[in-house]
Amino acid sequence: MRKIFAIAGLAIRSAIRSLVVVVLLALLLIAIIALPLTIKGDGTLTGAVQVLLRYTLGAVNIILSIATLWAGCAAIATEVQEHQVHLLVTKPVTRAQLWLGKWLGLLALNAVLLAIAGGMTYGLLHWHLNRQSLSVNDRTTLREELLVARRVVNAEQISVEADAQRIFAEQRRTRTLTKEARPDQVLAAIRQTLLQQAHSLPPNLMLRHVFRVPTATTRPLVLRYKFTSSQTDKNPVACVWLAGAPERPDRFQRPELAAPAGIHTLQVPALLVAADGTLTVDIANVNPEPVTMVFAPADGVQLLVYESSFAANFFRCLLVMLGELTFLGALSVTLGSLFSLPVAALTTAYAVMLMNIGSYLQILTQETFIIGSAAKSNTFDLVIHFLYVGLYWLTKPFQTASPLEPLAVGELVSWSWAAGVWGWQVLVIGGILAAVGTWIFNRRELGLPT
Amino acid sequence: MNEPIIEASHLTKVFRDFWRRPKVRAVNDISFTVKPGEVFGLLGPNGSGKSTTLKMLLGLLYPTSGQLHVLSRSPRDVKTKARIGYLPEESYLYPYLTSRETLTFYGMLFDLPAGERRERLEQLLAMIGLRHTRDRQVGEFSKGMARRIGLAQALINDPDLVILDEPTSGLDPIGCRQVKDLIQALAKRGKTILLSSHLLADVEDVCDRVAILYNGRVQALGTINELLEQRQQYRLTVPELPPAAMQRILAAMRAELGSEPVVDHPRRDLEQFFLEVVEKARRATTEASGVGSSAGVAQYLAGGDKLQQLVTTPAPVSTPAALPTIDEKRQADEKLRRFIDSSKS
Repeated sequence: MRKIFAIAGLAIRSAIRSLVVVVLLALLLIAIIALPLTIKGDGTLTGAVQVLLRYTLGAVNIILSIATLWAGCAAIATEVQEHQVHLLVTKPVTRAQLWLGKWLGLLALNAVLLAIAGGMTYGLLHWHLNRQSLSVNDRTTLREELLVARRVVNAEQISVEADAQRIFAEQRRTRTLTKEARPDQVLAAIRQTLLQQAHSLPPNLMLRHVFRVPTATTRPLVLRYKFTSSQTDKNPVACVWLAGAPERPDRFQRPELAAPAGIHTLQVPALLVAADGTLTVDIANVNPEPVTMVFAPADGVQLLVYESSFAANFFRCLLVMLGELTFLGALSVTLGSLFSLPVAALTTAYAVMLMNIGSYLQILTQETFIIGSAAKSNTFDLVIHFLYVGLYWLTKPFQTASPLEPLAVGELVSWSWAAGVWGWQVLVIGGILAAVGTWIFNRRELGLPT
Repeated sequence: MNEPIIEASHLTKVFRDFWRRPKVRAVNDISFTVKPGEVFGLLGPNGSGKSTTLKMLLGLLYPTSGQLHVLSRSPRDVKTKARIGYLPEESYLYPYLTSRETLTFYGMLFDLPAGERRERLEQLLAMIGLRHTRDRQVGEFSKGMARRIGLAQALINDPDLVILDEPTSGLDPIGCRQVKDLIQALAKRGKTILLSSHLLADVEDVCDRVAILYNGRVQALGTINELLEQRQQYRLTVPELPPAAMQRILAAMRAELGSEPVVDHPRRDLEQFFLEVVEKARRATTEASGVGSSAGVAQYLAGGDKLQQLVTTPAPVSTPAALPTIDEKRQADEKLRRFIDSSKS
């Protein structure tokens, strides 16, 4: 370990003495202090908090990602280019130790810089809020909705598979499908239609959602919902929310007049959760005008359950960010050990770009044709399709959502999320990169004339 | 025990282009061995394959064909590397590290415990005369000073095999002398030294055997004496004689040879003269910003004996004050020439 720590220490010294750290700290300082002053929120307290968390930490993440990409690629590539590696690899140091040392050095630097940037952001947020004279409502909003970590629980999914298969079989039997129609696409469309039907609430009817609350809590639960209506003028819709098992005498009941397209919340007492951990929520459409409420199947109605303090959530968010930076470090150190600095930097940047267009690639994989129609798709289209599918599956393990989004809206960044990033991205994928990278690096002759 | 330290057999290295097509055959079927305790020189003009051979010995390049064993193992084996000290042609040090940090870093790569590392570091800095620069960054050093740090890092592990690529390059005559003395001191302790150099006089001074490479092949291999001795000629050196005795000797030689023998005064070499002058100047000065005086070979390298004095301070055969001036030397040469002329007539 002494050798690995020596190499890691060297990487840190190099960054400090070459003023990279000073420049990075200056950039981070500018991002943390200047950005909230230059970006105008929506004028609300929520907006201001979200700007500080989403954009400031977002900028910190971008700065550190670019620095990691460059420093990681340079860590070994520069030493090869300037022949300093000749003195390193002629000492009793394996190339795996060299890789690990450089990577650990980068990890330590990122940890320190992220801790400084995170600490400053956290301090600035509280300083900003403390110097304002906030109303009781604002303080409640802050305490219960923003500066908190709430787990988002989706309602148990209504299964439409049996119905979808039945309808599909019926359509095949009655030959209503055209020859060009692809069975998987037809089936997917049927499922989608059935799900939308299942989440539509016609006038004077009731729609039931069942939530499984993961942890026992005494704090009030929050129901968050959004819907669209069949009306064109988008008038508020009258509905009644009922929570708790139907047979309970203390069942929660709240009439609401809610506008379509907005996000609405209402608090529900935690004691309504049944002994088996489920919470039944019914919505009754009692609007005088006949109007259908349509809830999105995925996130139309959600339950928010208090999980931990904001400080703990903030820490976990930084941990996820550090994990992602560490993975980026592994990727860039690996590529830097195989190629020259410009080639390694470009390759890493390209790989990062591919990882960040996962959703776009996913859309492309759903299309079988690029030019013309499905009926006329040719070999070229198929080759391109499989290329996109390959790219999508190749980059899928690296695709993760940003932890800043949930943090900014008071949602939970879970330990399992952080563990997933560290376990999967850093240890598994990083380990594979290290193994493959050092295997190739071992075969590389470092004394070749340049 | 007497197994060769380096054993190269039919060693070949072919450099290839991007498409793996052979481009240059830098080393072409060379074989040689280096025995324990030997000082072995690798000579040759630029492009002769010296550096390629050294790099293969260090595991920086991989042979295309042939066998290569260093300390009875593959040169790429980590255990082999633990017993090697390497000074590259250029220093390749980290400019942002101080002398102390540089030696500490390389000491850590050899897994040396902190106490031993510190001890060796102090001894090495004293040996190379850079104790006063321990907290200066290497990037601020002159080439010669950086070279000395390079030499110190090569010796931090008390290696069994020291590989020196152009060890005196960039060094002043004092540094050159120190390196040569160091090589001899290490050889006395049974260390094996392989050096490559363009400076033939340096090689001649310290090497037991040399290999001369040209065009990737070994052109000559043997001890310095085997290669340089001219067995068909003799050289006589006699103390100062009375003129009459000298004339009798010359006459006898003329009669025997049938021609005029070459007669001159033996000369000390310029290096010796230079060292004496600098030593005189050093005694008169108390401070220097560059390389200070050496404290001799580091104790751990000298086998734990008392510090062995390097010949940076020349032996007190003559003090600078007693040295002849250039004019005096010219007059002595003229006197000798006149004497030989007069003896002919």
